[in-house]
Parts: sequence; structure tokens; C-alpha cells
Amino acid sequence: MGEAGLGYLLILPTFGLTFLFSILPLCITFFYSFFSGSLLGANHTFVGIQNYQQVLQGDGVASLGVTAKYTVGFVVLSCVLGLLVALLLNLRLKGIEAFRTFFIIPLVVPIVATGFVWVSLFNPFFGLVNRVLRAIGMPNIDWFNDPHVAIVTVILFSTWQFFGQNIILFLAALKAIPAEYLEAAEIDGANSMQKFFRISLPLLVPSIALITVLTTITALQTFTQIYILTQGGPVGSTTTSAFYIYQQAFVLFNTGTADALATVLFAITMVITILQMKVLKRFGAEGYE
Amino acid sequence: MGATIGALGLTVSAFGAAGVKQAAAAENVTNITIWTTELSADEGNKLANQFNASHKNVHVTSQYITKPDEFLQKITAALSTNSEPEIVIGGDPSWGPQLLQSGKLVALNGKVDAINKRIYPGLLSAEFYKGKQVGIPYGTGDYALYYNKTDFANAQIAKPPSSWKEVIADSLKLTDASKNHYGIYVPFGSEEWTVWTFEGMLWGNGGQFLSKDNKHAMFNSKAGVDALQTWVDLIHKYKTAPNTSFATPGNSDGSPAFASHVVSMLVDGGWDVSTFKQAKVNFGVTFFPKGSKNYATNAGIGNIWVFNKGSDQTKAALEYLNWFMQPKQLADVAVSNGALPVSGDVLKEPEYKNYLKQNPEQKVFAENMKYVHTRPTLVSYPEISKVLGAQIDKALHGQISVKAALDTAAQQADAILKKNNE
Repeated sequence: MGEAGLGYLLILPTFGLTFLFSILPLCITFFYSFFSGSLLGANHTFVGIQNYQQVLQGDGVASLGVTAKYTVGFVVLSCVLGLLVALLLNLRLKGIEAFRTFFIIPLVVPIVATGFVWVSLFNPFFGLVNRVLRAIGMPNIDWFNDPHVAIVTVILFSTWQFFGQNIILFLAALKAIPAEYLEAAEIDGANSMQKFFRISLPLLVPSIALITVLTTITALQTFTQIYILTQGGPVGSTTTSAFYIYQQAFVLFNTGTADALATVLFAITMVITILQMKVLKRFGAEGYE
Repeated sequence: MGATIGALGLTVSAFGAAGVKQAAAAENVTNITIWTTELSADEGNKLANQFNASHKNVHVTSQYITKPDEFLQKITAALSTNSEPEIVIGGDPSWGPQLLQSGKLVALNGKVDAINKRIYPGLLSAEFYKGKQVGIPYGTGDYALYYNKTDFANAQIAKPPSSWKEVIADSLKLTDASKNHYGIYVPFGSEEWTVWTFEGMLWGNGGQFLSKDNKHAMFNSKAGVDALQTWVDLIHKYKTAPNTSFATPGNSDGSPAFASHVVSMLVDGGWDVSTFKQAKVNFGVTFFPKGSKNYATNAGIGNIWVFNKGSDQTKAALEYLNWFMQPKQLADVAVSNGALPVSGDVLKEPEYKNYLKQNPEQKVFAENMKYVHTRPTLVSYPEISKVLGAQIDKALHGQISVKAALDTAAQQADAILKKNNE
């Protein structure tokens, strides 16, 4: 067996599992997106692109809009906050390590548990948050039932839950910046802002791009927090595409519609990822081609 | 020496024979699994143990799966992956047509005739779809109106309301928005609970959900518009209902609003009697308020389905079903989960008689059943409910007029009925 043969043999298990659990289901989803029929029905009827038309004309396209809003809000907040907190935690201050735990805890607590805590905290009548608001003379906010506010609440929850992951990644990137670069700049008289914008930030760009890609993919797949906090309401204002797919497939049993939207969402995710990888490459990040 | 060897040989043979006999006995036992949702894990296990103790050839394992709102998804996922149990206890008959599509549901025609004769005919009729008996009811429940007796006394209201007009008048007296206290809770959200309670108001106004041939939606009639307008007015015109949802994951009835004293009235089922007692609410229960025509309420039917996993399994499942549906077991279930009995003979069971003495509120739910209606048993129902719920939610949020909401939902419902060829 030649070197190439051995190489193929070694990647065979990984490729086999990827094919079985990722590529094959994707192909089946794409195939059934042209059929109508329920999850339990044996007879599926070929309907051409009807499922795609339905998805792109009705609530499906609205769910893509919600997903876009959510993704932008979540990615911007969790990346910016993640970077800022990582910069703070990177300062050589006494006892700063203790604060790291504070930001990491939400990440390791199950999302269902924290979701229930948030539902209680943000209840408009007896929730702690509104009680505090009332105590300082501010009006009640209907965090989960006002169509304009609910999506913001979900974004805030997701950011609080997951931005710890970005802190870890940014902190690792900051630690990887050679100390002598910063020391040399300091000897040349650079102040803190100049050191950050002229040295740290340019060196962080590949990491920022990578973290943005990962956070975007996470956002596009958002389901659990919607299921726990709002069930897609009020009036569909938090129905993300993943939640819509779940409703169509497992509540209404319209598997064709669910398959069509899943295919569209996959295509969108792929396009966004390719674009972001091109950006990565442009900024000189290696290994993302 | 020879005798010793002989004795040893006999002993080995004896042990061997016993082992073979045990193995044979184990081979003759049919194991079946039951999934429950409305029955607690403890109650399911208790009944399974009782059955196992008295039945040597069948061994039952009971598993509590999830809350009722999420149960259908679990069953569906199991059916599509061939991991379903032999028996499912819990869920509504309206799920039957969907489950029938799996080809695994055992039609009960001719298999449970003796049980059928004991069950109230109105409940049994909901179990038939296109001539097939898809399931059997084991418990039922409806909704009525809970009211806070202390609040009513403080507002000098002598008796609970009997109509929606009286609900509006009373809620005006009971509301104090400055203290975040309201007269009644109106259910927001597009979940089945919203539609289920709306249907009671529709029927009370003399309306129908679908046409008699199940081809067209009828809920956008004047009866439906008046019903939904009442809810919208309570929130937006009179401001006597909270303009928010108290639904929690898996629970859409708004019981936290009543338990936490945000509202003085709530439409809810008998299952929350214990919740409000634990919350120390001084409450009473009265009939679901009358519409412009009559009283009405909606039945939630606790259902049992049998799935075909082989002839031995089906035979064993039917044996358990026949045992489970006896008055003693049904009384035990009714006491454990607050469901109302599906047959008159349960009322004669000492355990249930004693339960009613201790929980007189349950009598109101039982008497309210005189005016009960049931949801249509159709493949299309879950989807129609979803589109109607979404439009009702829009109207409750003031985003769309009541008439426009119901007309839109009716249009979508007609398309769903046509698509499914109901």
C-alpha cells in the first residue's frame, strides 16, 4: 500500500461517519423537499418546487427575516462584548482570574435551566427585573410578549449565555501575541490605545474573523432558547428558521415544507461561511481555504 | 465413589432441569412497554406493578415521557424510527388520524366491545376516524371558570358570573391597574390552549368550528367574531385583562396569573385545583360562562393507543388495556391526576366517592360536562389549530381586526382541508 493509499485508509472512518450522519441526511432532506406528505405518511407526492414557493412566500420567509435580525444582534453583541471583556481579563491585575469564572459560568450551565431562570426573572408582573425597574420609577417592560421587545430579550439571553465562549477564544488569541511587540512599542512611546489599535487589533483580525464565522453559524441554528423562552411568539416575532422547521416537521407534520426551508437555510449558511472564509483569507489567516 | 458420582449427576440434572424450566417460563413472558404523559411516573409504575403481580405471562414496563404539549412530537419521532412502545397512555383523540398514517396503529374495532359499552357515547364518538376505532378514552376533562372568592367579596360581587357579559361587568369591578391586578386572564399565544378555549366561546355563541361535511371552516361566523371580540375588548377596550402572556414552557393555561393573584378569574381545568390549593388561593369554580346562546365547554380526552409490534405484543397490550380500563383502575387514575371518569361505574368506586367528598370543586367540572363539545377528529386539525392560533394571537395583540384575523385563518383552514382531502 502506497502513502496515498494509507492516507485514504486513515481518513475512511471519519469520511464514512461524515457521509452517514451529514452528507446522506442532507441529500435525503434535499430529495424530500420536492415532495408533500407527513412524517408518518408512507405516500409522498411529488410537488416540484411548490414547497420552496410556499416557504419563500409565507411564514418561512418571515422566519428567515427573524433569523437575520437575531444573527446580526447576537454576533455583534457577543463578539464586541467578548473582545472587550477578554481585553479586561488580559490586564495584569491582582485577582482578575476570579472574574473569568463569572463570565464562563453561564456557558457551562444547561441552556434549559438558565432559560427557566430568565422566564422567572423577566416576568412582567412578578419578575425581579421589572420590580427593580418599578422601584426606580421606570415603566414595566413586557420582555417576552411585546413583539418589538421579545427578539431583543432573546438576543440578550443568548449573548449572556454564550459570549463566555468568545471570551475564551479572544483571550487565547491575546495571549498568543508576542509580548516583545508590545514592549518594543512601549519603549518607542506608544500609549495603550496606540498599542491596541496599531499592534493587538491587526494581529487579532484572523481570530476575530474565525470567531465571527463560528458565532454566525451558531446563530443561524438557534432553536433551544426560542423553544424555552418564547415558543416563537409573540405573533411569530421570534420564530427563527430552525424553530419554524421544527414546527413544520414535528408539530404540523409538513415534512416537505420543513425540508425546503432546511435546504434554503443550509444554502444561506454555506454562502455566508464561504464569504467569511474569503475575508479570512484576505486578512492573511492561514489554513481556512 | 460410584454413588457419589451418581448423586452428583442427579443434582446436576435437577439443577439443569430447573434452569431449563426457568428459561422456558421466561420465554413465555411477553414484555411490553407503556409510555405515559398525564399519568405521573409513580402512578404509571404503581399500576404496572399491580398488573405484573397478577399476570404471569405479561410483563409491563411503564415510562413517563414528557408533558402533554410535547407528547405527540415524541410519539411521532418514535414511530418514524421504529422505537415506539406497544401502548401509549395520554394525548387527545384528534391526534389519532395522524398516528393512523404510520400504519402501526392497531384499530380496536371488535377488540374492546365490552369496554366500549361502558364509556359515555359522546366521548367514544371522538375515537372513530373513517370507520376505524383509533383509540379508547380513559379519562376526560373540561374547563370551567375559577374565581377568587376573597376578591369577589371585597368587590361586593355576590355570585360568580354565569355569562361573558357578567364576566365583563365583574372584571371592571375587580381590576385595579395601579396595583397590577386584573379581572380575568385571556390566553395569548398560538398554542392549542388558546384555540381550545376559543372553541368553547364559539360554541356558546351557537357557532360551529367546521361545516358538517368538514370541507370548510365556520369559525369566522358572527358567533366566532363575537367570541374573539369579547377577548380583545377585555384586553384593549376595558383593560380588565393583562396585556401579556403567562404561558410557561409546556403550560399555556395561564395558571401562574391566578396563583400569583394577578387576576381574579381564570378559565382552566380541574388539574389545577391542587395547584391553587397549594398556592393558598381562596377560590371557587363555576361553569365556563355562557355565550349568547348557551353554555359550552370543550373536552380534553385522555386517550390510549395500541401500536402493532407483533401479534404476541398486541395480544399482551390488549390484555393490559382490558385490565387498565376496569373501574377500580380508572378510579385510581382519576384520583391521581384529577381527570374526570369516562364511565358511570367509576363514580360508584369507594376511592372516587371519597375523592369527590374531599374535592367538591371537581363536581363543577363533572356537571359542566353536560355542555361538552369535542374537537374534530381530522388529520388537518393540528394544522388548522396552529393557523387559527396564530391569527387569534395577532388580534389579541391588536395587530389585526378580529374579522380579518378569523377570515384569514378560515381561508388557510379551507386550503389545509382541501390539501388533506378530508
